[in-house]
Amino acid sequence: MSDDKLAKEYLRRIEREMSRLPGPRRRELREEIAEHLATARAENPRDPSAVRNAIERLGDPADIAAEARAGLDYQDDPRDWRDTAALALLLVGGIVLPLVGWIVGVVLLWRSSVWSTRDKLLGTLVVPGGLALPLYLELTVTLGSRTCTSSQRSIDAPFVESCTGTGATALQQIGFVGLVIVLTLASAATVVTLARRR
Amino acid sequence: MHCMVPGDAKDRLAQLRKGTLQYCVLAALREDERYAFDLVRSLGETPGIVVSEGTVYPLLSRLRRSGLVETTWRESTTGPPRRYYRLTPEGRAALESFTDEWRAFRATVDDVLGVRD
Repeated sequence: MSDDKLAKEYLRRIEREMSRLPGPRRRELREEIAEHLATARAENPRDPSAVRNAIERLGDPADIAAEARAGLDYQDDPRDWRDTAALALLLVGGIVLPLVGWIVGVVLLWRSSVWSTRDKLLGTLVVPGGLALPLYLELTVTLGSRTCTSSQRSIDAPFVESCTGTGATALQQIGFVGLVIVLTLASAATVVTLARRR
Repeated sequence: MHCMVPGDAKDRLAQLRKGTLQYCVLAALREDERYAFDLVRSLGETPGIVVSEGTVYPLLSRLRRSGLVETTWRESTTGPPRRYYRLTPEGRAALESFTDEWRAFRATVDDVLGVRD
């Protein structure tokens, strides 16, 4: 196995063992170990087993993760109900309590210390409103052929035309359904991603 | 008389190491700042101190969070920029007081155990 593969494999084991640690600490540790392996290779460019040796000396990822967990104070590990609430509200808050529900989810998201800024941006922008957005679109937008009826309230009243549908083509209708599906999946995927990155 | 199971000795040593390891790390930084790889490697090479080099990293991050060490990045000629560790004034003070405590403690335990050098 090449050095790169060895390193990646080891780092993957590290991440798996450390999945229960809070995000920032987990990322920090992974980065340091990645640096360690990169330095091992850079310092011994002519030694083909430099990385393999370094990995062996680093030891069992389970031991490293155990050491990392040993140092956790409860105050340092604030993964609490607010984080779960944030994710739930981001997803369905907009449905349960239109607009407000989702906004509360966003506030909880940004106030949490468990996600990076990048993750928080992801949670806010993909998809704004959560599942409420595709649901809203589905319920309010009626594509489909435009039909207009003229009616008059009484014999002397003017004709009033009322139309439904926007006269969209079949392609546009398919596109719309696709959009709704994509928004739904994107929203769900974002929440799942954030849940795993806690 | 019961047989000493190897596991017991290992556990006892592990307990002894736990209390002192962080001070060994601080002591390794006593003279000069050192970069992470070098620090971890040399701790790993000292017999009996560190079992797996990887476990030093969580310890270093705890020391950083406790304000006993700090890190800076420096460019390097061979490869990526390196993270250098050094003692903070608090770290130096902690090391000095532990060293005094350890000397006294070791003398007492030697005495009690009847160890003669």
